[in-house]
This record gives sequence, C-alpha cells and structure tokens, in this order.
Amino acid sequence: MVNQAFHKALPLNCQIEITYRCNHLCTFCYNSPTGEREMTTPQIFEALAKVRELGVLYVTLTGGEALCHKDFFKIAVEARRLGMALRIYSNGYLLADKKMVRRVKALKPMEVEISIHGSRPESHEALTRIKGSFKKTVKALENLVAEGIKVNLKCPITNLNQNELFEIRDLGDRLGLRVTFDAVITPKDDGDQDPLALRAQDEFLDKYWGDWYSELHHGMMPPKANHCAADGSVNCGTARSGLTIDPYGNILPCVALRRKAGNILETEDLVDLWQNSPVLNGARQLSVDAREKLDHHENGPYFSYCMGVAETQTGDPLAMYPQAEINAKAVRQHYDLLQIEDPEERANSA
Amino acid sequence: MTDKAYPRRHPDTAYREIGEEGGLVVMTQRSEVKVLNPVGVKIYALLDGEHSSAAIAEAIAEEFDVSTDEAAADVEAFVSQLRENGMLAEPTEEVSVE
Repeated sequence: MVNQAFHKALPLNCQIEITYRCNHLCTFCYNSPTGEREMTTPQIFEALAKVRELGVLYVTLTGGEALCHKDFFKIAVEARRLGMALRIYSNGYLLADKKMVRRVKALKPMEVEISIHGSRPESHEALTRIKGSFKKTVKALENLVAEGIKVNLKCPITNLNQNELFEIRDLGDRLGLRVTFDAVITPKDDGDQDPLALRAQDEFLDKYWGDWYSELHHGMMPPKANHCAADGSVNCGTARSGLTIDPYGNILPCVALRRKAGNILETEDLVDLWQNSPVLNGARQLSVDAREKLDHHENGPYFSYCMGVAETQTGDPLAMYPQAEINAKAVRQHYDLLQIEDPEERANSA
Repeated sequence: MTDKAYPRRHPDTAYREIGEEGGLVVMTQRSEVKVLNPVGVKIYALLDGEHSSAAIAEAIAEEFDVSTDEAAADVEAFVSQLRENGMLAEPTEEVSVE
C-alpha cells in the first residue's frame, strides 16, 4: 500500500522548517536564511491544515532548531490535533531539561531525531561551536530514553569526527540507540560551498562504505539505494512521497532539492499545485531520469544518489558528484567480496 | 448511549485513503502502519465519536451495495478488531502538553 501511494505520488510526509533560529552555530549547516519574514504561528497552522488536506500522515518539525520556536508546542499540538503523526528533529540542547522532555512526551511523537557530532566534547563542540553542548545533548538522550521516547540518533560524518565513529556508535549502544551515520555533507542551500571543506576524506569514505560499514552497524550491509525510493523505477521520493516547506512558506520537492514550487500561504488549492506544478512534476521526472542514468553506470544498482546534492555541488541535478561515486564503488565491492547474489538476477539467468 | 455505540478512532492514529485500494493507519506511538481495505478505511473515517455503529453500517450498506444486516455484522467485527489492536479511543484520551 505504501508502494501504491508512492507510485501515485500521494504524499505521506511533510517536513516543515518552522524557523531558521538555532541555538547552535554548526559550521556545516546547510540553512541559508534570506532575512525574509518567517511564517507566523497562525500561518504555520494554516500550512498544517493545508498539508493535512493534501493527505499527509507524518509531519516532521525541524529548523533551524525547531524547539527554539517560541510556539513549538502549540504547533506540535496543532499537527497532532489535525490527525497527523509527529516527528521532531532537534540538536537536543533544550532537551537536557527533563521538564521539556516530559512536554515532548505528552505530544506522543513517533520519534525524536537527535544529531550528535562526536563522542567527546572537543569533537562535538568543534562542530556546534557551543561550549557545553555535548554534555547537554548526551543528557537529552538519557532523558528521552528514560521517558521511553523513540530516538533516532544521527551523526553527520565530517573530517573532524571521522576517526571516532566507533566511539560514537558505542555511545549510542550504551543508551540502547542505533546511530545512523550520514556520509554526505552538502553545500549551503544558497550554493555556498564552504561546508564541503568539512567533508570526510575520500580515503576514509572508501573504508567507511567498504571495510567498516558492517562492523560499525552491527553486521548490517550498506544500503544499495536511497531509503526514500520505494523501488527501482525512480531514484528517490522527491515530490512523490512527501514535500518540504521552509520557514517562509516556500513549497519544495524535498529537503535537498530546494526548487520553489509555490508558497503555501498563497496557495488556495494545494492538491492542485501538488498535481500540476511544473516544478514538482519536473522533480518527479528528474527522479526517473536520474534512475535511468544510474542504470547505465557500471555501479548503477549501488548508488545512494541525491539530486539536491548534485545540483548544489555541480549546478546539474543529474551530474555525478564525488561522494556518490565513492559510495557506489565501495558498496559494490562490499557486496562483491561477500559474493552476495541478487535473487532476481539469479532467477533471470536460470 | 454508550461509548461503544459511538466508537471513536484513537487520537494517536493518523490515517489516509490511498486511491480506491484502501488506506493506511499510522499508530504513532508504536511506529506501526496498518493497511485497511476500502471498506475498512471508510469505516475508520466514520469513527469520529459522532456516528453510531448503526449509522456507520447504513453508510457502508449504501456505498458498497450490501444489506444493512451484513454491513452491521461487518462493522461490529471490524470495530472489535480495532479495539483489540488498541486503535479505538477511550473517552478521556486526548492530546495535551500541559
């Protein structure tokens, strides 16, 4: 049924960046505030009502730091009141306060995703540039776990933390949490390439996707495709499984491919825009084109390719970028080394 | 009037129809997704605490061209399954953060 929704491009999730305000100063942050006026709380309510009308089931509240929004809890309650499940992305800083965590628990979120950048204060805070933030994030994790809230612990890999991933994994293990590592650092939304200076080194990425991946992930094999692609017919779920709304109300195909399809506050009929927007239809076609292009690549079935990253890094959403190539090559070697056969391929050759 | 006669879907679920094939229900706290057939999703949509089981059965009978008795039996069985799966609300269950 989820696959059917995917193929019909019936959106199930919406990521809403409710503010660009943040209490961290992460050097690699992709946000690019323009100075425009952010949506007011009533306008965010209006946006929530419209995405619910579109049929969205899951709302992800993010930022910036979503919890820095003065009306975060009002917004979250409204999302739940409208009948949508709730995810929260946070840096955890404010969740070191147990009272805040109890308020989050009362929202009954599906999960809270927390980002961590190191296994010790020096490395974590080299990225966040906020003294004391490591201790607070770890405290937040302890508080969330103690309250029985599902936590997804995420770690963007940079050249500052690439040598302590096993320690970060161990930190997660101690709390009973699996860490999701993200090996791709993207340029800023406005095209500024500065964050790329922090990306992990190519030699490291080769090892990460190859020799280390399974050990780091408790025996799991590296993914062969984007998690948001329902099957092999398209590259990803952009403008298909969901959409993103930025703090100014701009409607985007996804968090990575930041092409403005319209503004939620100026859109009377979001269903019509979702179905007929040239920008959204263009993004859907790009996902088909990207898959077709990758299918002709020697490591085609092993790509976790992001058109948004390609566009911000190269100017072309279908161009190859270094991390994707390294990833696919190493993942292929990983599968080849273990001589794992593809059941479909085996059936076809029989 | 009893709550059982006016069943209400659990406030910690989110649902949507998927074309004519049926629909999805997300159990938010359990991170589970349930798949409903077209009759199931129609019933689920009417579990708002304002429609009685009898009124839901009438709506189902009309839309799916079955007898009212047959629809009433289906509604009762389906509601019973939902209750067993924790997908129906107790009278006091609401979202609150205070």
